[in-house]
This record gives sequence, C-alpha cells and structure tokens, in this order.
Amino acid sequence: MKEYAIRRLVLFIPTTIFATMLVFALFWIVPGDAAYMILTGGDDDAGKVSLDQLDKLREELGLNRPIYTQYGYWLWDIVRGDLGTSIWYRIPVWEELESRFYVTTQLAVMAVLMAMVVAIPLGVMSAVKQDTWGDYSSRVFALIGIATPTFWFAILMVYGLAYWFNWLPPLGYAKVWEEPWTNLQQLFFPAMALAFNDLALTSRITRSSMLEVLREDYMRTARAKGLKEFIVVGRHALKNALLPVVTMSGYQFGQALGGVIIVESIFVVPGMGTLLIDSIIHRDFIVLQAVVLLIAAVTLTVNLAVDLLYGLLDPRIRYS
Amino acid sequence: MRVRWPINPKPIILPALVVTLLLAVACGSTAVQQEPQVVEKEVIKEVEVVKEVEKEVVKEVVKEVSVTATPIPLLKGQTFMTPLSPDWVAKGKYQPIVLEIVGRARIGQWDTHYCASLFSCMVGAGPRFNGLVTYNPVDTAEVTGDLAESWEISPDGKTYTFKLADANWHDGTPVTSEDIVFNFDRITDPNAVRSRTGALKTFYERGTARIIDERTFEVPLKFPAATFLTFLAVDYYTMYAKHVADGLTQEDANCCPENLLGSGPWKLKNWDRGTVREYERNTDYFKPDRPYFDGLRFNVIRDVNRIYAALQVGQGFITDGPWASTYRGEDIFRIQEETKGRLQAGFLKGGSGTAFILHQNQPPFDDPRVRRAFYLGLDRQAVVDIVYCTEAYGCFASMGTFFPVGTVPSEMDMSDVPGYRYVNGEKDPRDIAEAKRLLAEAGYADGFKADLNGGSSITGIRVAEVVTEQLRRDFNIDFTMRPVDTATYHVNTREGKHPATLVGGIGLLIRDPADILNQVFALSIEKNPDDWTNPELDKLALAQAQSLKVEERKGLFDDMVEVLRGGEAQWVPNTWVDQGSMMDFRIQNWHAPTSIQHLHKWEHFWWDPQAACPHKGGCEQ
Repeated sequence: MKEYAIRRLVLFIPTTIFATMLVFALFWIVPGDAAYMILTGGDDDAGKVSLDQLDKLREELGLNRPIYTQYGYWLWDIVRGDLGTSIWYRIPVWEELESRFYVTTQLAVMAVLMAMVVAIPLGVMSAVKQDTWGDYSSRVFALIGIATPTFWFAILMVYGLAYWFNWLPPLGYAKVWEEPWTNLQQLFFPAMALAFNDLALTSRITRSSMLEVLREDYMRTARAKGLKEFIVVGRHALKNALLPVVTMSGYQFGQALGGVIIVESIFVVPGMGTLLIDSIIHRDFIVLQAVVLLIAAVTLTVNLAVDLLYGLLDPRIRYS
Repeated sequence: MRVRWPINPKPIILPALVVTLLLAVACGSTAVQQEPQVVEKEVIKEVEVVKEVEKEVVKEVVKEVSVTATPIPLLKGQTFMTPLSPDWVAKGKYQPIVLEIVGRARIGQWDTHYCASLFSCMVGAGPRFNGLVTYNPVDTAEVTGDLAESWEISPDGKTYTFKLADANWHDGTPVTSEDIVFNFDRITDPNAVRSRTGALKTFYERGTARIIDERTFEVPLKFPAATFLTFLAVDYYTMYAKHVADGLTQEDANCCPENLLGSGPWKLKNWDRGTVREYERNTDYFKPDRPYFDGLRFNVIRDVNRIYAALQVGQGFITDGPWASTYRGEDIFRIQEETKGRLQAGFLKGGSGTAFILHQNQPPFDDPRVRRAFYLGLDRQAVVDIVYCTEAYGCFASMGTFFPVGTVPSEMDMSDVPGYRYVNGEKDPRDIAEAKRLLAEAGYADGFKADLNGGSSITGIRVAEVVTEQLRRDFNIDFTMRPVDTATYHVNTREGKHPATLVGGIGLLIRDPADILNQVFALSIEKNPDDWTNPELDKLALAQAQSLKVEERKGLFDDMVEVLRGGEAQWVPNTWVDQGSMMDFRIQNWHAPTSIQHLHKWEHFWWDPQAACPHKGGCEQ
C-alpha cells in the first residue's frame, strides 16, 4: 500500500504539469491581452489608451515573449516554490490565494458533508422501503436535484431568502475560528446550493448499491441468524454498499472545487472561484495557473485518499 | 474482522431520517404558504395609488437630471474664492455609523493619474484624495476649490495663481505648493501612462509651474484654455503627498494603497481584494464638519441581481458610484416600487453613450460612401424604443449625437438632420434612399456581409440585434454579431478584426464637446484605431481649445458638427444612455453630477433618520 501511495504521488507531477500546460495553451489560444486590461482597467470604455503605451507595457510584463518561454519562466518559479506575481494586482499570488483557498476548501468540504449526511440516509431509506411512497418521493427528489443546474438553484435560493425572509447571508467573509456563527450563515446556503446536485446523485447511487447488496445471500444469512433489521441494514448492507459512495465523494469534492465559481459569485463568497473568474477576465495567467495548479493538486490528493480508503472499507482490495 | 459500532447507531440514524423527512415536508409547506403572498403582490401593482407613485418618481428624476451646456470659461483677471463651509454644510447631520454601500467595483489600481476606469480604480481611490479643484456637489456643473482656497487668472488668461487651503496629508504633514506642483509634473510625465489625465499635457508644459510660497503657486498654460479647470476638476486629477509619492515606481503606486498618501475625507482602513473596502473618517479633515459618517464600507458584489437583492434586504443603502453602473432603469424603478420608496432610483441623463467604429482600412468601410450610408441609414430611434424604452417607466436613452447631450446648439434639435429624420415614427425615406444610392455607388447595391465586434453585455447584444435586423431589412446588410469578453473586445477593436465595432459604453469625463474630441478623434487611440483625421476638424478643434468666448466655442462646435455630419468619420453615434443609481431616501444632499467621473470623495452627503418619505403610503423601513 505504501508503494502504491508513493507511486501515485510521483504521478502527481506529470499530471499536474500536463494540466497547467493545457490551461496555459488554452489561455493563449483565446484572444485578449493582460496589458490591455491593465490600461483600460478592465472596462469596455478604454479612456484614451495609446497603442505605444500598450506595446511598452506588454514588453515590461514580458507578454511579447514566445509562449513556451513564458511557460518555462513560470514553471521555473514553481520549482523554486514561487507561484509568481499577479499581473493585475502586482502582488505575490500566494498572498491573494492563501485566504481564498481556505474559504473554498471549507465550502467544498461543507458541501460534500452536507450531501453525504442527507443523501446516505435518504438512499438507504429508499432502498429499504423500495416501491413505497417514501422511495418514490426520494427518487423524485433525486431526479429534481440531478436535473437542476447549480447556478439556477443558487439564484432561486437568493431570491427565496430575500423575498420570503427579507434576509440574505451576511456580506464579506468571517473566519470560522473568529466568528463561527457568521461564518456558518455565510457559507451554509452556498454549500447547500453546491450540495443539492451531489446529494441527489449520491442518494441515487446509495439506493442502487443498497438494493444490490440487500439481495445478496449473506443478507439472507444475517436475517436468518435473527439479527435485528437495523443491524442487518446498517452493519452488513450499508458498509458494503458504501464503496461507490466513497468513490463518488472524492469525485464530488473535485466537482465542488470547480463548481464554486458560479456559486461564489452569486453568494458573494470571496473564494478561489471568484479569483479564477477575475484572473480570466483580466487575462492574469499567473493567477489562473496558480489556481489551476492548486485545484489539480487538491483533487489528485483527495482521489488518492479515496483510493486508499477502499482498503479500509474492503480488506479484500489489495494495492499492487 | 467484524466492525463494531462504537455506539449504538439506532438512536442517531432514526432521528436523522425523521429530521430529513421533516425538512422535506417543511420546505414544501413553506412554498405553499408563500403562494398567497405572490398573489397579494400582483394585486398591489394594480392599485391606482401605485401609478401615482410612478408619476412622482418621474418628477424626481427630472429634478435629478443635470445637463450643462458648454462650460462658461472663467473670466480673465478675476479672483475666485471658495468658501470653506458652503451653506449646505450646516444642514448636514453627522451620524456615528458606518454606511454600507454595495456595488461591483473591484479595485486593482490605486494611482488615479494612471488608471482608466471607475470600477477598477476611481471608486476605491476617490474617498482618500482631494483634487486641486473639484465639482460643486450641489451645483454640479460648477468648478469650485478643493485643496485650492482661491485662484486668480492673469489678464492674458495664461497664468493661474492658486492659493492653497490649510490642509494636511493623512500623516499630519501640511499640504504645500511643492506637493501640488509635484503632482502637475507627475501627471504630465511624458513617459507615463495617463489614460484619463492626459488632457493636462495639452494645457501645461511640464516643469514650468512656479512656487511662490508654502501655499501659493503659479501654473502657466500653453494658451488661454477654456477647459483647463473643467478637466482639472475631474476626480482622476488627485493630489498626492510628494514625500511619499516621489520616486515611486508605477507598479508600487498601483498595487498598494499605503504607497500613496492623500488628504481626503476618508482613510482606507481595510482592503480585502474583491470583497470589501472599509474607510474610516479623517478626523483631521480640513473641511469643517465633513464627512458625516464614521466610516464607509463598500461591499463588492459582482452579480447585479445580487446587488439588487442586497439593497432590498438592507445590506446596502446606496450603490457605489453611485451613478456609475449599468443598473437598468426598469429594474431600479421596480425596486423603488417594491420597497415603497425606501430605495430611490436616480438617473444621470445621457451619462454614457453607444456608438459604432467603422474600420476604414478594410472593406466595405474603406469606402467613405459606405460609412456615410451607414451613418444615414442607422435607425437610432428604433434602438432607443426597443432597447431602452418601457411602457411603465418611459425611456432611458436618446438618439446619439456626436457631442454630449445639450452641449452644442446644432445638436439640440435633430428633427431635420439627415440620418435623424423621422416621418410618422418611421425613418425618413429620403435618408434610406440616399443611403441605398451611396451603397449602390460604392458597389454594394445588394448589401454585404460583415462581422460586428462587440462586448457581451445583455444590453449591448440587444442593441446589436436591433441594428442588424434593421440594416438587413432596409439595406440587405447582413451583420453577424460577435459578442466577446472585454479583453477580447479591446484587442479586436484595436486590430480591426471585424469591419465594425459596437462601442457599448463611452463615459464622459466632462460635459463638454472637447472631451469627445479628446477621447474619440485623437490619433493612435482605441476609438480611432485607423487614425481617421480631417484637416478642417483639426483646425476647428485647435481653435475651440484656445477660445475663451462661450459663443465662439459654440460656433466652432457647430462647424465641427457640420464636418462630422458628412458621415465619413470612423465614429457613428448611436445612443446616449441614462445611468442609474439607487439610494435610501434618508441619504441627503446627493445630486446627480454632470459626469459619472465626478464626486467620488463621498464627503458631501449625510444620513437623516427623520427624512420625509417621498412615498405617500410611507416608506418600507
């Protein structure tokens, strides 16, 4: 298992480099110019920007160098542990990224937890009470969740909160260890918006996985032994049905990291998603690369953790 | 190996299931309970009283609109004094509160001499600085002193002698003549980017200002200039403390607010990039009794609908800018209704414009006849009617003229002007016929196909849809709109990737035609990417810049309009658009400026908890 983990960790490097190369290349295919954005302030109305000034600034920022040279410089900085300096803000990227990384991670973790806490009981109930009104309701609920785009659900939540309760999550961001209640108010609803889709999917997977397990011979044996139904379901069925759910949760965490972009904008959460949008708008490829690098690294780590968790859940799984 | 539960899970899982079901039921029941409220709301809209409120609102808007004619140049040989405490100051009421503001300005630059945009710079920097002169917050077309206590203009109109007020920088050191002269020379640095402050170079030769004493200095101009002070009063011309700003690299000046020291009414207390900016009151401010709050808190919200929601639930009391954003008239009037007048919609008439740039270096617009045909054939009124007019609230735009609304006599009444004429609400057939003739002459009798560069704002796309449909119908000109994001839009415009560009927003610095000449018809700039020039226009532009006679200037602008109506320029005006704001009715003394680029110090308004509600039924609190 240790060897397996090390091998996976080593594979991180080419995977991450490939991801950054891909984003870098895509970014340079898209038209647009960071120097222009700086001179115009990112507004449609450019004021009086002269073309000479533009050329001069491009040279200052090194934007007129070939793409591979720019990528090489960026990669060299990364190797030395330097994420670079934001083209737009002119400050070290990590200075900006650090706080936002925590916010987004908290949001993603909350979303995955919320999804699992609701989805697993719902899926279990749906399977155990198959073809009852509870199962039908749960399935309809899951279908709605799967079919509802996250951004739309988030907008509806904002609308609903404002319209019915004349209340919205507080603006800004309070750190969880300083103002936990405010932090909860700020992140609960965006996390719920993110969780809704995952929740639906997870409950469906839990249900189908449970149904499969419940029909196994050892379930009949467990019942024949005279175990209480609760123990049969919770200890024998659920544990075995959880494998696909765990896989799903790793995937969902990666999804949540990517999905926060819109939700953060709608709920005014200062996380990596809003930073990512800004970096794309401003053509600030240094920030964009750093965010992509971080998301790739976190996603890979979580997936590795999920893979390793299999061994704990099912001892029959061996890593080689 | 058997896994043992550390505790008996039954008491946990069962209640969890019950809670989940209860939640599901609760959600459903909430929705059902709320339905009657929706119905109730619709009923309210149909009550006549609401209609009366709408009428009242329109009256209010008219009051807020502030349009000036060409500014009256200051008379030669005269001294101008600025009272330190104008009459309205005494009416102001200090409140020990922090005012919550919402808007989309995400600050990325702090050097106002350098930066180009309200939303990436000015809205954030404005409260921290003073200019030498500024616009009067009450009589918003008038230039008044800011750091300047008084000024005198020499008999030949070429030398301005300024006397400074007794003001301090935020670190307590006094503002001196040396500081201000430093700023004049900094702004006119030939190697620096000066997107919004470049006009000063037209008037002032760097290094020629003379310090007379600690608080008096002289600024010689290259020529007697009508718009020297009107440009200088724009908020971008802020003054920095020399002992902090001298020697700063451009990067340092832009990146970090602490690198530039101001004397303004507010000090920046906290800046969380892209999230919030907090300002605290400058208790040592040289203008007595101002500002009227303990602090300002700008909450950054990128989504406009979320801004509306924040205003409605009381998370913000005023929009940042406050006129500088793209709030749609229909939306903000609706919110005014829904909040029963607690939030008031305000408008800056014709504060922004839309226009077309025709790239003259590529077909079909390389032929001046096609450019003229486009100018004549464009149905501007259709754009106004379809995109900017509403049944309930009227229109929020007017047909675009070359110069700002109300500044040039020959553009006051356009009803007989070719290209702007209408018969029974339809475009005058004579203009259509003439445009067709020109197209035929240029070899495009059957029309042509072309791509149209433009931004991706919803309004911009709607404008493009109306225009493309009209041109297809009337001239068989088949435009394909290519909406792109801002970064791509700028590059496409500069490089002329498509034959035509729809400019979604041209913001005025000053309400004077000279501003358009500066922003649109100068050479080597984005809005004139192919360097269109006309010797006659250049001659007239130079003459107006050097004329101090109001009537003479107006005449010169009329002559310029005649030249431009030839329709051969790269610039085809489309609309002038009103800009909206929202603020709580208890905010007092905000008057619409003549440009969105003015009055960003936030020093002149106050909160009156006893303010009378403008709504007859009483405002929602």
